[in-house]
Amino acid sequence: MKINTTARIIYNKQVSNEYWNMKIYLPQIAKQASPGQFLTIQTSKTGSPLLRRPMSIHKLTSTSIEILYKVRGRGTNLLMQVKKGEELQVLGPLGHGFDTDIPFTTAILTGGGYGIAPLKALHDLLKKKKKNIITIVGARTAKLIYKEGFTGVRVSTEDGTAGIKGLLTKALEKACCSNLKGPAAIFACGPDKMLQAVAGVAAKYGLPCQVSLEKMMGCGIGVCLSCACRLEKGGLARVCVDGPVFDAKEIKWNN
Amino acid sequence: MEQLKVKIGKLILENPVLTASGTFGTGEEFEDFLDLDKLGAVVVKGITLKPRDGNPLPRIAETPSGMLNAIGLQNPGVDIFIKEKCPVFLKYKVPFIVNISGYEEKEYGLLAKKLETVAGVAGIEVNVSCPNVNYRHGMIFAKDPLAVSRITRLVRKNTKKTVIIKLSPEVSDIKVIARAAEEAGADALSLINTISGLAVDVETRRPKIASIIGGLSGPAVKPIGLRCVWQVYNTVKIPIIGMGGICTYEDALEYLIAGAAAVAVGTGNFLDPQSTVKIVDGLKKYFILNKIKNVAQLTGSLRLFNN
Ligand SMILES: Cc1cc2nc3c(=O)[nH]c(=O)nc-3n(C[C@H](O)[C@H](O)[C@H](O)COP(=O)(O)OP(=O)(O)OC[C@H]3O[C@@H](n4cnc5c(N)ncnc54)[C@H](O)[C@@H]3O)c2cc1C
Ligand SMILES: Cc1cc2nc3c(=O)[nH]c(=O)nc-3n(C[C@H](O)[C@H](O)[C@H](O)COP(=O)(O)O)c2cc1C
Ligand code: FES
Repeated sequence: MKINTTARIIYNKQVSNEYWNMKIYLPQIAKQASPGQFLTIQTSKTGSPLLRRPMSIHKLTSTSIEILYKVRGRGTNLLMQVKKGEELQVLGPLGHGFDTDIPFTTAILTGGGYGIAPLKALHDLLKKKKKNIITIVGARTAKLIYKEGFTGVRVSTEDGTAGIKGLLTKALEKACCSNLKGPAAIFACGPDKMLQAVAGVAAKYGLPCQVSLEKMMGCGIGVCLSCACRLEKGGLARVCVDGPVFDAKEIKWNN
Repeated sequence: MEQLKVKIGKLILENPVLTASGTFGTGEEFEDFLDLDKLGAVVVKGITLKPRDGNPLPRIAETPSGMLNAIGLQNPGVDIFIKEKCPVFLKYKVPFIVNISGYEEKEYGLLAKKLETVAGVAGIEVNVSCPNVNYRHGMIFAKDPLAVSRITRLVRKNTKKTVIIKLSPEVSDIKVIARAAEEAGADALSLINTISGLAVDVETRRPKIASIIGGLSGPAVKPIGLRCVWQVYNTVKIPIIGMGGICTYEDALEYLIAGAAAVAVGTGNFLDPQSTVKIVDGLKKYFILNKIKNVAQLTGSLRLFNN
């Protein structure tokens, strides 16, 4: 059940060059949430900006949810200023998360930019499920890499200042070619272009692949139809309720 | 609460708070947040004769105190809508009003005819004013009093259900359009639909929505909605459903005082999915505190300066 609630901030701190991390006391939402789902957060009480901001669930405990966010525009600038003990309007858990019941023993988590945000909650769940984990973290340059808490990390930077030089799919291909323990599955989140490339690699190696998409969202609950996404089988899905996580094969990429 | 009951056409609504088309799905989406039967009526997402994929993305952009949208009437078409969505309406006591759009005038008649026999559909809201579709003659029907009159007659001829005509504020004189709809047999009027606008991304120099122009909604349009309601209230006798930027019960009261018999919440549902029921509760308190006996006592009660 989706819940619209007022929630207290446990902490809100800068954790890297680019990212902020906010922990929110959300017992009712946390109880039902799963990795890959998201929240929408009201960043202003005065209606400016007007719309809520969608944020992935980054970490999950039984009573709290953490988000990891990049400060971009007005909404995230306001979010950054929220202090411990203050309250925010939060809606969640929204959307469909990752399906971890498919058969695999090795998970290749692939995150570009703040796309790593939802992969941490997934990582923690897969650890509990005793899966082998490879985490590929990609960014433009070394100082933008954030990999706190991940295991089996392989870094990829476009300028080669850390890890494998080039696009993240190069590191992904390397991982796919390596000696993987048992059947593998890819879980990816990042910009559309990256996800499309990841889906290509997955198809090449015949690996199941789930991608978490991002679209502008007006409502987050399936009514405004601003987040439509074309499907391979024809028709449109709503990223906010039918996703944000989809099987990569379902998505019609060139639209 | 008896004092909040209002009559729109043949419908007696429990209270004057409705949902605005396109912002509430078919209502099911809000079941986790509220009891639909606590609303005056549910106005569902606009439907067309044929299925429509809608416009390319991005379809929305945020603007100061508002948002632009160019969804482009994405919908499964009336036949699938009737088969898959309408049966659900029967689960509730609240009346469901179906919003229809056409590309040619005759489509409105066909849509009304198809919906006439569908149980669970209490009324029809006729969208002659959606700015996001390319009408055949390059102009939205809502700007032409003769077209509005013909469409209203056509719908009226094909249905005994309550007929509400939804008007655009983007006309040279909304009073003329409102009168045309009233004379052609409309039971009520909804106003306002969104107002066309543009937003530009200065980094990319692209419009913020793919179809360039979109419809503005939200608090930014409230004064325009109120102005239209006031003008139309002083022109027609049929009830007006006022909308545009309603987020709180005070916003709703402004509309009632300006001349609305009922109100609808649109963009407000995105900001707080419970805003409709919060508005109903706010109105209840206001009515008790101010000893208001019925909505009619407020409708058009704007006190003018007499200096
Ligand atoms: C399902 C989902 C999960 C997300 N998870 C995260 C996350 O975990 N961490 C994170 O940092 N970011 C995440 N985002 C993106 C985040 O919502 C935007 O960065 C944020 O809304 C920007 O707000 P702003 O006011 O700071 O920037 P703005 O000035 O409003 O915009 C900056 C950029 O953000 C995009 N944006 C603005 N509003 C939205 C919106 N409502 N939906 C999608 N994109 C938007 C704009 O297109 C623009 O390119 C997620 C988005 C979605 C759809
Ligand atoms: C995303 C969105 C979709 C809409 N779709 C429709 C529609 O299908 N038919 C219609 O008559 N009006 C539609 N509208 C207009 C609203 O019903 C309403 O008239 C307008 O948004 C003004 O009210 P508001 O400021 O409360 O949103 C839509 C508005 C929005 C924001
Ligand atoms: S954000 Fe409104 S339908 Fe997905």
